[in-house]
Amino acid sequence: QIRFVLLISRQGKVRLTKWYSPYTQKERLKAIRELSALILPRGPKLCNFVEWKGLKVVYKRYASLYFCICVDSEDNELDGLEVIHHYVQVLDRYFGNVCELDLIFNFHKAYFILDEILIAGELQESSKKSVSRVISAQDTLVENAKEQASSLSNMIAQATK
Amino acid sequence: MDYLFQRSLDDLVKGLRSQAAASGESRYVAKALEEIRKEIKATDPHIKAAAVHKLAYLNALHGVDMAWAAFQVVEVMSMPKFSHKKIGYLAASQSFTDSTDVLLLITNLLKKDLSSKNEFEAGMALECLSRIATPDLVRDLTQDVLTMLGSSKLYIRKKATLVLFKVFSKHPESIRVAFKRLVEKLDDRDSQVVAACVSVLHELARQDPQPYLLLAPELYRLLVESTNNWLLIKLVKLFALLMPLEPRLAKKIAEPLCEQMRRTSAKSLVLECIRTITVGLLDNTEVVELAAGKLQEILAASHGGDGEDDDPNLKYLGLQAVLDLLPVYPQLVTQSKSVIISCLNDVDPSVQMASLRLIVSMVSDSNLADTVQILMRYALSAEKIFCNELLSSILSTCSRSFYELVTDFSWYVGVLGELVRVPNFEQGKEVERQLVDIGLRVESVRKDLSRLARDFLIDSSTWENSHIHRVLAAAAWIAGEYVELAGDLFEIVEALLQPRMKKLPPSVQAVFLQAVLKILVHFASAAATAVDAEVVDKMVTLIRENAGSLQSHVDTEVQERASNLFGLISFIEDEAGSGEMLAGIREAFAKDLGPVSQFSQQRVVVPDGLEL
Repeated sequence: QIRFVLLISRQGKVRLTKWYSPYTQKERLKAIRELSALILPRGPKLCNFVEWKGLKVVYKRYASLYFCICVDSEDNELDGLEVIHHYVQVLDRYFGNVCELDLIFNFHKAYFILDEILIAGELQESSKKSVSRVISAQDTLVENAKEQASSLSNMIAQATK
Repeated sequence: MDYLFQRSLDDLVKGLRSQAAASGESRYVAKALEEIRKEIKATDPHIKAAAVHKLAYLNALHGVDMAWAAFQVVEVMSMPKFSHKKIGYLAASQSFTDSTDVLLLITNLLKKDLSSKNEFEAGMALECLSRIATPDLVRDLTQDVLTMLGSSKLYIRKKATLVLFKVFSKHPESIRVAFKRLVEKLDDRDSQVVAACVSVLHELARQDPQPYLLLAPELYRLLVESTNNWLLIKLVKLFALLMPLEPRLAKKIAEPLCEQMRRTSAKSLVLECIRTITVGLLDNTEVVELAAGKLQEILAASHGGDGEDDDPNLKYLGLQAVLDLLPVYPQLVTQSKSVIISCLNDVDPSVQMASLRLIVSMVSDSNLADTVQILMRYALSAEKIFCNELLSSILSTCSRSFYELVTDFSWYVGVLGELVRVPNFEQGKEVERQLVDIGLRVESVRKDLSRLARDFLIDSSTWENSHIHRVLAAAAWIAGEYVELAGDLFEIVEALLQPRMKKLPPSVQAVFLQAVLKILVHFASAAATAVDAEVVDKMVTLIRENAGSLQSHVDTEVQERASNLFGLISFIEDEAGSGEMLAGIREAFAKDLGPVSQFSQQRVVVPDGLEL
């Protein structure tokens, strides 16, 4: 199973963290620090797997972002790379040529998308089309809800409560 | 209208990014937190939700603690609007832990959302449950999750199946009730649900594979029919867990495994099959041969012609797999020998280490010399850490089981000599131990050792590497101990007393002095002719000049030995009776001391009345 997912920029800034195993706030910060120090300095010709605390961390760099997932030591590393690639492809499809800035300003959407791909540390949907469809449907719901909230009648109702 | 002035998430992010220094950033975060604390208490749902949204951002990416806002998060989760709800759930998923006390409040909320007609609300609740499940929550909500297993919506069935894993881990008794329902999902009309089910079964089987053995026929059918890579990998892993329990199972799945290996183009699947074979099918030669063949392909593919197209992942994983297959298929190493050896030179330290481990495990007495030669060659050009890994593996392999593999000790002594001269050498202690050890055990090679010792003592250019110092101590000891075999004793004494030795650590100096003592004794007592006597005089003068200052050295051991030495000298110069005394001392040195058992000290009875 996947223990956690980290997205870290080349300068070491955290862009997304999702923890599927219990990690206290302190442990989370420590993990981020240690893995940044372990992974960021690695050159491009090195293999994409590192060992960390008896677990494996599979990572891949896309442009300026390092996508890292921490898995159990028996898990298949190449499979892990596939999961990362899957996520990146869906992000790309959603944002259209996704870049780091998209993820910075839309962190909640990155989470929503991740939540449709992984759940409880396991892969839940391997079809990119399905994931995209589900995300658009939810986006529509959110948009409708927001429109309702900002409709004039609603504002008046709020103000006069 | 307040929310018109509330800073939105966008503003927060932009503001943070415009902070140049880290101190500016933390001040900005502190200010934003202040605002959030006020906003979050607002009754207006929009303001509250936006505040929670910002807080979730700060928590996720800047590690800001948000446990204090747990109650407000629950409030936002219970808002009717989907957009707000989603934010609340995101925040909860991110920040709630087992010890969050408001968890008691959300049981009913989750129950309501789990059964919502809106599949996305239900999905959200499932996701949240999977993240924050506690035994209590799970106990109350298990039935709801089980109901969702039968939902008409694929989306719900799939999520519910996967969440069952969390349910089972937090509340193991529920397995009894829910197991049957879970297994039903293996036959679900939708492949994604089937895949989800297999994932859960695999995770559960990791803890205890026995109960899942009876699912083998179902799983077998899936293994043969499925074309979905993700599913196949999970299935292969699951069979790896089940195979040790039932030997006939291994035979049955050999064929489909081979079929998958032949058919697929996905290296991930091939590697997984190989791993499973390593677990349970090592006695099936046909399967092993196919696996070996595939592995060779992978290794060959991982090596581009000029190192440009190399795939480091395949190299690393390939080497690991070869190591696993080694017990049954050692030919694989000889077949891919050139690839493996070139990996010693690889850019990637993990590949280097994997390759080294492989080479070391293939060593036998017939190929020892060649292997050592290859490793030495790479050690000369390797950087420090790996160089020492190479050297230490040479040392440990050769000394394994009391030097079982070494047939020609003369050659090995030469190797040790070369080893010490490798730049970056750091294995001083081990070499020292081995030199002395070999000297004690292998009589025939003592002459070689003496020669080696002489070389080290005389050529002081190597003395700069501090790791050599222990080796020098060994060299001095050898020179003193096997003094009959040494060549020109005067030369050695000169070397032992050269001014540079004063810069060595005191423990080494002490050994040097003792060696001088032994040599002097030997020489003086053997001095028969007048010519010899002159040499003795010269030696004494030499000692006087160089070692005189050592009598007042800071280190007590050095001081003591120097004093001993000078005591001996004054004795020699005082002619009367010195001949017998010298002969006596020489005899004392000539007798080999037998090894003393570790526990001998304990066996010595403490005499009565002695207070220690």
